[in-house]
Amino acid sequence: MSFGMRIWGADGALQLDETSFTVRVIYSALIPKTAGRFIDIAIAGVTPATDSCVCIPIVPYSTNGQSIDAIAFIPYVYEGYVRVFFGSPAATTGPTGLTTQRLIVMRNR
Amino acid sequence: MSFGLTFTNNDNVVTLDSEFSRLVILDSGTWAGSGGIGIAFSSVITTDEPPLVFVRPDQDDYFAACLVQGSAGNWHAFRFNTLKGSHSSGKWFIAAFKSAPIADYGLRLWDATSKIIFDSGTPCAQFTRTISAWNYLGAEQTQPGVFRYSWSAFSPINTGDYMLLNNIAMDMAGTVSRQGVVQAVWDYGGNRLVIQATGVDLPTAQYLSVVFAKPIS
Repeated sequence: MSFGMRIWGADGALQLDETSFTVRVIYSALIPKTAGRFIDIAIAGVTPATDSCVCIPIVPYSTNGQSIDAIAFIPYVYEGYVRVFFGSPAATTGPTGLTTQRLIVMRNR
Repeated sequence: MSFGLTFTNNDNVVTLDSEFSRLVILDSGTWAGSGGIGIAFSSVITTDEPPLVFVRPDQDDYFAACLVQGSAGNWHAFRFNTLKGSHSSGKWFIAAFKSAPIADYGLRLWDATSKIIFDSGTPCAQFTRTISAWNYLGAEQTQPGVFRYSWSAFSPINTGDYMLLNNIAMDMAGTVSRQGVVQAVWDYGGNRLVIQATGVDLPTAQYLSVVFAKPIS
């Protein structure tokens, strides 16, 4: 290697080197359901070109397909903010989720 | 970032820095079974929030009703349903965003609040990619008025990546008044992941984010 850094573990295995690619978490927060069908969260520098996001349940949910506590929040990256939809982004009608979920925003470069 | 370390790789992409913590592997193992599969952690995970569970099946497989079981400070297992009568097996690991000072040598990195975010002695994992754009494959009727929709994306699954289980089986909101259960299908033959949702008023657009990660040590 001509430049960069390598890190080995105690077992001698290479952990990171100059070819490693990692996705970093740049933002993480609990998102409670609020009034309306979505909430916008301003995050400086966030952009669809480099960032992606996911909402993760933080408590077990019903798996019978009948309980709105189990509806996934759907986050979307826009320039400068992330919009978290509580229901379907495809419509302005339909049920919305109820349970607080964790938003994680990741940057891949 | 005003102090600390930034490590940039050959593509000028930041690989490691003092600002953001990495995923740390807390436990790992394998599973084999059929139908409903439950896997207990080797010790209780005491974080407030459930650990992130990642799975990689050995063969074509099916993940529905995926849950991390327990409560804040007491996460002890995860479960999912696969197809009855079909063999299911694979590898899993669970991870959280923290590190512990256990290495005798190597690199240890703290953030601005003195929290350890990297330690050479703690097995680490990395998010590798996210699928959030899906192609609609079509729907089939499963009962009167009920349809099962399918989506896939160009994102190969033969790369060694593990899929995040926590969020994939949450219900998909419908556009009128109902919701649909969701399952993920690993199709090694097609080298693709298929997402299916079953319901009465689902849109043909899928927005789910499926996250992949892999161990790096």
